Amino acid sequence: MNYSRIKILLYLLPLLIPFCVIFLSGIFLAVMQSMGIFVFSYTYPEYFFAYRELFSQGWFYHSLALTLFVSLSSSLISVIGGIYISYRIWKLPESLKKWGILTRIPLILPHITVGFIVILLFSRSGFFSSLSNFLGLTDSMESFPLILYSRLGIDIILAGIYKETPFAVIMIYAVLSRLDKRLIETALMLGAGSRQIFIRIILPHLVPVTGTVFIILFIYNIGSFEIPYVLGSSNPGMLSIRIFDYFFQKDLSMRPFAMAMLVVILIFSTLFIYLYSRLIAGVDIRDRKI
Amino acid sequence: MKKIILIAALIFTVSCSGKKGSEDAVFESFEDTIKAAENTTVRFAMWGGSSSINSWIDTYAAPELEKRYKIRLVRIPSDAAVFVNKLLTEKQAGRDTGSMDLLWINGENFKNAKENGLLYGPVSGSLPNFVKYVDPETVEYDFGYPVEGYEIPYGRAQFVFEYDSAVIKDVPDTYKKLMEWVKKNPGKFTYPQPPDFTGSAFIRQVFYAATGGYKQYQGEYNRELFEKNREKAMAYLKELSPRLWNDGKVYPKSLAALETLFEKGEVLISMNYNQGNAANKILQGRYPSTVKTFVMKNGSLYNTHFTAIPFNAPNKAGAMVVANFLLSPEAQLSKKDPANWGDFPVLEISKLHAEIRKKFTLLNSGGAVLPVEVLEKYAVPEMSPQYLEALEKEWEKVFTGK
Amino acid sequence: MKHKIFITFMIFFFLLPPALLSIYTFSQNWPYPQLLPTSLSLHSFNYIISQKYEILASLFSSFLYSISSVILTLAITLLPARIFAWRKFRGRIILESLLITPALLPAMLFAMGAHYTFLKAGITDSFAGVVLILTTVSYPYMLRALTAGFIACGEDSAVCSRNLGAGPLRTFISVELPVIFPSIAAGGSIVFLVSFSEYFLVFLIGGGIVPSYSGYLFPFLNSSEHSISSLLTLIFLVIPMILFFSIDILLRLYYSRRYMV
Repeated sequence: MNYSRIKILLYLLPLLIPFCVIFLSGIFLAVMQSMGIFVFSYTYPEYFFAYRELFSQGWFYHSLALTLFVSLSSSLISVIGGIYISYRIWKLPESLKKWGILTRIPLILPHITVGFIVILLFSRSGFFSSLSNFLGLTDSMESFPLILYSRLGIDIILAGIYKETPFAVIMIYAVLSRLDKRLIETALMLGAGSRQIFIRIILPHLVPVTGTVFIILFIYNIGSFEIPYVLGSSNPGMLSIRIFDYFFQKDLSMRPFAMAMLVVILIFSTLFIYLYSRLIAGVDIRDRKI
Repeated sequence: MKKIILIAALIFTVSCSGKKGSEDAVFESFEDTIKAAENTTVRFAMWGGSSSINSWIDTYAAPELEKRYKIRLVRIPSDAAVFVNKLLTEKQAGRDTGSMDLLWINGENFKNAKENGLLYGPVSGSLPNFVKYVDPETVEYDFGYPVEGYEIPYGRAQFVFEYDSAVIKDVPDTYKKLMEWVKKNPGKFTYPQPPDFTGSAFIRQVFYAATGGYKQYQGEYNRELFEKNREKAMAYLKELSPRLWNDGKVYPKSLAALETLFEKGEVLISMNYNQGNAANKILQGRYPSTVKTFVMKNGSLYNTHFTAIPFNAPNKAGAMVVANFLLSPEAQLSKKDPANWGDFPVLEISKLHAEIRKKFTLLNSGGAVLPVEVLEKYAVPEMSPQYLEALEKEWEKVFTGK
Repeated sequence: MKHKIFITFMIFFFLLPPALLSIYTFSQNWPYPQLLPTSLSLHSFNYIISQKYEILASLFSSFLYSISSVILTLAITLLPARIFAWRKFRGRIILESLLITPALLPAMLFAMGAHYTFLKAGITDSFAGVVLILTTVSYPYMLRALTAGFIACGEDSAVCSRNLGAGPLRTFISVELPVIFPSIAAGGSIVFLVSFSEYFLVFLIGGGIVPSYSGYLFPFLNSSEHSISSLLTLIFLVIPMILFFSIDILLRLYYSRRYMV
C-alpha cells in the first residue's frame, strides 16, 4: 500500500526539522572549516590543504587502521556477548529474571570511569597485579604482564566491551522477548534440541536487530574518544584522540585539520551505513512473507 | 602636516599625564565600579578538577565577596579550552551578552582568546590592587605573548619535582644526575605526554638545559635557532626514553595519570607545575609526610596564571571587583596557605604594609615546599609560544611518529 | 544449576567496578601490592557534604533535562517510527539509516555549527536549548526502538481496530501503545542515559547557566582525586538505577496483567 508522499513527509517533519536545522547545519560548518572557510580570523592558501597534508602523512593511515580494527573488534564481541547474555536471561525462570538488571550497570557508568576502572584493575600496580602477588604468582610489579596501553588497543577493546555489551543486551532482549513462545513449544514437540532451536529459530529472529546494533556500535566507536583518552597507546593512537588534540590543544589556526579528520570519519560512517542499508534491504523483515 | 602631528602629540601627552597624575581618579571610578557590582552575580569559569581549589573559592573567596561587596560568586567548572571555543562561536554569531563574567586562563588559551578578540580590556590598569602591589614588568608577557592589560594576575607557579625522601636519598637535581638515576632505576620515572601542560613544561626545561639556557629564547621566534638546537634536546630525551616507565613505549596521558602512578608506587618521582601541590597532598594524607620537592639546578620554569574578562561578560563591573579581590593581599595570603591551595602570590611583597608582609613571611608552608630563595635562585621564565609549539611538534614527531 | 553459575558470573562481572569504586571512596593510600587501602579517610564525604547544594541542584537539573529529552524524543519520533515500520516508500531504508547518524557521529563534528545556529536563534544558555541539542543527539535511539516495536506490533491489529470503528487515537492507546510500551521503555532508558551523561554539549549550549551533574563530575574524573570522583560517580549512578528499577517493576506488572500470547 503506497501512501501519498506528502502525507509521509508531513509525518516525518517533526523529525526532519531538528535533523536538518541542527545537525546538518553543524555538518555544513564542519565541512567549511575543513576547507579553511569560516575559521574565525585565519586565512589559508587553498581549499583542500588540510586534506592534502593529512593524506600525505603515514600516521594518519596508521591511526585510521587502528581505529577501524579496535571498533570492529569491540562491536563484534559486544554483539556476540549481547546475544549470549540476552539468551541466558531469557531462559531464566521468572523468579530469577530480575537479576537481569545487573546488566544495566556498565550502561550508566560514564565512559571515562570505565576506562579508569580498567586502569585500576589491570595496571602493573593495580588490583589484579596485587592479587597475583598475594597468590604468589608474581613477586613484583614488573613481573605482571603489561596489558594496558597496548599498541593494538586491547585495553580500549576491553573497556569498550564492558560498556557496550549491556546496550546490545537491551536492544536484543527487547526483540527476543517478543519471540512467539509457541514456535519454541512446537519445535520442542517436534523433537528439536535446544541447540537446534537456538540456531534455527532464535538466531534468525535476532539477525535484523543484531545487525543494527552492530553498525550502531561500530560507527559510534570510530568517533568516540573518552575511552582512548585514558587508555591505549599514542603511537599510532586512535584517530579520535588526534582530533581531540587538534581541536582543543593546538593553536586555533589548526582547526581545519581537526575538521578534515572529522569529515573523513563522517564519510566513512555514511559509507558504512549506506552499505549496511543496501545489505539489509534484501532481507528486510517487513518484506518477508512468513 | 608636522604641525598636526605636534598638536596631536601634545594633546595625547596632556591627556595621558592627566590620567596618571591623579591616582584618585582611578580609585574614584573604581568606587563606582564597586557600587555597580553590589547585589550582582559573578559567574567565574574555572577548571574544576581540584577539590582544594574549589573549596578555597567556595569557602573563602565567595563568602568574603558576599561580605565585603555583596557579590554572589558562582563557580562554573570548565576547561579553559572548552570555554574559549564557546566564546569563539559566540563572537562569530554576534552574541553580545554571554554567560561567563570571569575566566581563569593563561598561556595558549589566552593567546587564542586575545588573538581572536574574545577578551574585554585593557583592564588591569583600572584595578587598585594591581596598581598598588603588582610590578607590571613581571606580568608583561604570558608565555612570551604580550598581555597588554587584558589579563589580571592571579597566582604564580613554579615547576618542581616530587619524591619520597624515605625512598630516594640522593636527589637527582641536575639533568645529568637524572640520567644516571634513571639508568640505575629503570622504569621508575616518566613524564606526561606533551601537549599535556606538565609534560610540555618538562620538555621545555630539558630544552633550556640541553641547549645552553633560556636567554636566547626570549623575544621573537628565531626559526634557525630552534632548528639548530632541537637535536640536542631530543637527543637527551631519546637517551632517557628506553629507561622510562614501560620502556618509554607509552607515556602517561595526563598529569593525573602520572600522579596515580606515583601514589601507587609505580614511579618514584613525580612533577608538578604547582610548587605547593606536594604540601597540599601531604595535608590531605595522600602523600606520606616524607615527600619532598626539588627543582632542577639547570633551571626551573615559572609562570603566572591570570583571570580575564570575556568580551561579552554580562557583569563586567562585578568581574572587575572579583579580579581585584583575588589580587588583594588577604586573598593572596589565604591562597598561599598549603592547607588551602599553596599557590604563590603575584604581589610585590615589599610593597605591602608591614603587618601583612610579616604574615606572608611567617606563613609556614611545611617541609615539602622549597624556601622562596631556593625557588627564585633557579627560576627561569617561559619561552614564546612559537618555540613551545615547535618543541611540542618536534617531540610528537620523534616519539609518536606524527 | 546452570542458572546459578550464570548469575554468579553476572554478579561478579557487573558488580566488581561499583564495588571497586565504593572502596576507592574511602581510600586515602592504596599502594601496590596491597589488596585493600592502607589508610582510609572521609575526605571525599566531607567534600561532598560541603558541596551538597551544588550537587543536589545539578543532579536535579540533569534529571529534569534528561526526562524532558525523553519526552521530546518520544514526541518527534512516534509518528515517523510508525511510518518507517508500516509503509513502503522509495528511499525509506536510506532515510532511516541516515537519520541514525546524529547519535553515532562524534559531537565535535557538528557541535560548533549547532552552537552557532542556536546562538542565532537565541536559545543558548537556556534549558530549552540544552533539551533541544540532547534530543538531537539521542532521538535515533528512540526512533530505532519504536520502529522495531511497531514492526513487531504489526499493522494488522490496528487495521482491525479501525475496521471495528475505533478512532485513530483510541486505536493508538488501546491497541498499539501496549505493544510498543517496552520499546518506549528501552528507547527512553537510552535517551535518558545519553542525556544524563553528556558533558560537552550541555556545557557548550547551556553555558554553565544550566547546571549539569556531568559538568560537575567530569573535571574530577580527569584528576587524580580518585576518592572524590568515585563517590561522585556512585551518586551519579543512583538516579538511572532508580529509574531502571522503577521501569522494570512497571513493565513486569504490566506484562503480568496482560499476558501476551
